[in-house]
Amino acid sequence: MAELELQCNDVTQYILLFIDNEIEDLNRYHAIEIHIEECQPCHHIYELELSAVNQIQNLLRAVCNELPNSNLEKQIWAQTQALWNELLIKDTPSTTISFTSETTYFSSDGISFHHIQIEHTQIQHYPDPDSDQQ
Amino acid sequence: MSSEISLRANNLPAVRDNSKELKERFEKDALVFVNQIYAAALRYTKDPHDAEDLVQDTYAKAFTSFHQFEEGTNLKAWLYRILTTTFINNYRKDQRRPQQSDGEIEDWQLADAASHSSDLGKSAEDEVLENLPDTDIRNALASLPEEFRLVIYYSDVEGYSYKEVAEILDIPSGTVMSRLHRGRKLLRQALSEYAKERGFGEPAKSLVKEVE
Repeated sequence: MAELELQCNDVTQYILLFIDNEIEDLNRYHAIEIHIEECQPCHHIYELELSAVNQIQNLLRAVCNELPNSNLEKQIWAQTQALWNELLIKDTPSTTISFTSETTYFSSDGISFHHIQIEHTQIQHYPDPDSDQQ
Repeated sequence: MSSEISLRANNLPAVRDNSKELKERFEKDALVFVNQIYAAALRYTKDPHDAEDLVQDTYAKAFTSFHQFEEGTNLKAWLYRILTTTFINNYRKDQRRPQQSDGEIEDWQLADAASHSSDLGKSAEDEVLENLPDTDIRNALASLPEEFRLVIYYSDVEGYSYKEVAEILDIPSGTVMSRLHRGRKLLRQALSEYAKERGFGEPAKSLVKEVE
């Protein structure tokens, strides 16, 4: 009798884990399974707990499905596109430098200098944001 | 006399192809979860407008980190993990939250798992809870402290294991277990309160008394 009570105590201790399918030790899992089948008081506790957990889950699942503003998904598509363009601009700058005049001269120690004038600097976008919109 | 040179990153095609592939994969695989991420975000912020902002921030962070996502692993859980960190970083930065119950909860663990909610799980009361309007159920969940609310959401609504919830919320599995079991009891209490306020809690209780 003492042994049975100890076993019931073990079972009630693990019953919530059992219901949540979180008992990793297979031997313990099967021992609890068998005990619940055979022991009426433990079976009763198990059924009450199981129905309480199932009820909470069903109630919550039925109502925790609110939908966002219908534009949210569109906004995230647009945001992703914008981030992608930004990412590419950042990653692949392309600068065009025009030489309008060249002056080459040599210093006394033989180093050559090129004097250049930058006419314009242009950052090219890859892809062209206008051509790649969906 | 004029000449022109172009300075251009020589790895351009690779960058472009990789990121295009990455972007298309993100759009195809991650954007289908927007509604689900939003429903989860509502559990964090409670406010619909804040929840939408949180989802946008989460997707921005997810896209820029998408190259780090390990293909073949659970993408939705990865997004939930980013949702959690984005919430903590962006929305809770200035809120000083006393970590009141954390240490206390760690100690419940198995002892708490052993105490049962079946005293509340009487069938007459079960039926009463079924009649509650959706808003009461949402409000009851929202009324729980964040640490219980989020664990319950990921476990009982999303169906994640303790280990998965632990990863999403960055807390130990043992903490998930104790918060879940305690949280369910708190939620049942909150739901019973709503039922009582609606006036259909009391008849159920007297019915129980008669039966007993």
